[in-house]
Amino acid sequence: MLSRAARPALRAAAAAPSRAAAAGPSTAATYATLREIETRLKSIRNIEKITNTMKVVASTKLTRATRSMNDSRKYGEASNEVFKSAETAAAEAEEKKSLVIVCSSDKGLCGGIHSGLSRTIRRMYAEQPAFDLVIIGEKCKAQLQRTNGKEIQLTFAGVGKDIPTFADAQAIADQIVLLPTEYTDVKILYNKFINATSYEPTFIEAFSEEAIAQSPNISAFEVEDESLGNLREYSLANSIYWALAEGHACEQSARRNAMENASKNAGEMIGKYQILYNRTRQAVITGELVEIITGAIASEEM
Amino acid sequence: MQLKRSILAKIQSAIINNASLRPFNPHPSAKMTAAWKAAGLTYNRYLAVAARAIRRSLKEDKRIVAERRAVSELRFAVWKNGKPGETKDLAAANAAAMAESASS
Repeated sequence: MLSRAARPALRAAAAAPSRAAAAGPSTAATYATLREIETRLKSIRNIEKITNTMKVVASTKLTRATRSMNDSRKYGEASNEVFKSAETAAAEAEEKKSLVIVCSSDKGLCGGIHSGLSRTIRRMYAEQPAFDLVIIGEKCKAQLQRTNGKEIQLTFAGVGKDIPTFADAQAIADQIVLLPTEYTDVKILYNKFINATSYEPTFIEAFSEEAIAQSPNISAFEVEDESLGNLREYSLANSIYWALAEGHACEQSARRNAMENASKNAGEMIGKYQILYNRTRQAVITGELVEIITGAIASEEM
Repeated sequence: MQLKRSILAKIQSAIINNASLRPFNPHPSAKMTAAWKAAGLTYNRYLAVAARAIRRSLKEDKRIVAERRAVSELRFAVWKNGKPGETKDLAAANAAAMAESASS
């Protein structure tokens, strides 16, 4: 909503100084630009207020999001520990059928973190054989349905309002398990939180039941074959939860940065316009004075 | 309070008595498919139900905090040949799918 409202104003603002300079000499035009500058100044002030508020909101959400990210990371790592000890590797089947789960969210205004994910997917399509997609979040759905609409199997919406819950992850994992196709390997693409300003699209490997059963060290765990399916479902939910929580933290932090930059730019623009406004106002006053004085002198001489 | 205690007792006895409720039991006394599996639930669904039961048996103040973690407002759509299908509520659809797999 904001981005659409903000862009014409930005463009108009960029075009404004040249127009003001061109319209300088004529007094009638100066009056108009003065009012124009004033309205523009007002709208930029409003935008700055909005972006500033969004920044504050994102900052508060970020602390909670980071905490949940750290917790969920432990979940994910603990669940992957089993596979590490079992030395599980992706199953080497002749007919590979891969599935990639993309974890984005519904909301924008957070820089390029969603398009980073989409770009990674498109690059993978260029390099690798075709794979199917499950997309979580409206943003990546909108970006990928134009180029990779045929490969999309499932899309989920409604994430990103709040910190993702494990119930969300479980429900998503269930729906993925219910997909008719049997996938030999499943990957989860998410934004890895490196520090407050950099994120990296990263994959988490989620193994298929066969891959778990074939892993060389699985005999170290005394589990029944039938519970391997359960393990797979549960670890898929764990990994999705991890990816969602970390993606959420990245999004909040990216939004905070984006809004901070937007406020800074708006502040710069306000300064520039304030100066322009004052100068134009002075020019108008000087012009009027000159007119009055010349008028007075002219009438004196008569 | 009385009711909650009875629920907790029920859960406990269910966990203790029912071997099939222990999915990772390495030495099962009886080899049979778990009751929840026979009912068409996935393991995740089974966990969600168990979690819900425990959340509901918590004390009032803690329960409200815990129940907030259970809300899921996800919607989803199944895609066929590059076209999105109808958008549905995820929780309801999951329940329906499991009810179906139970009857089959």
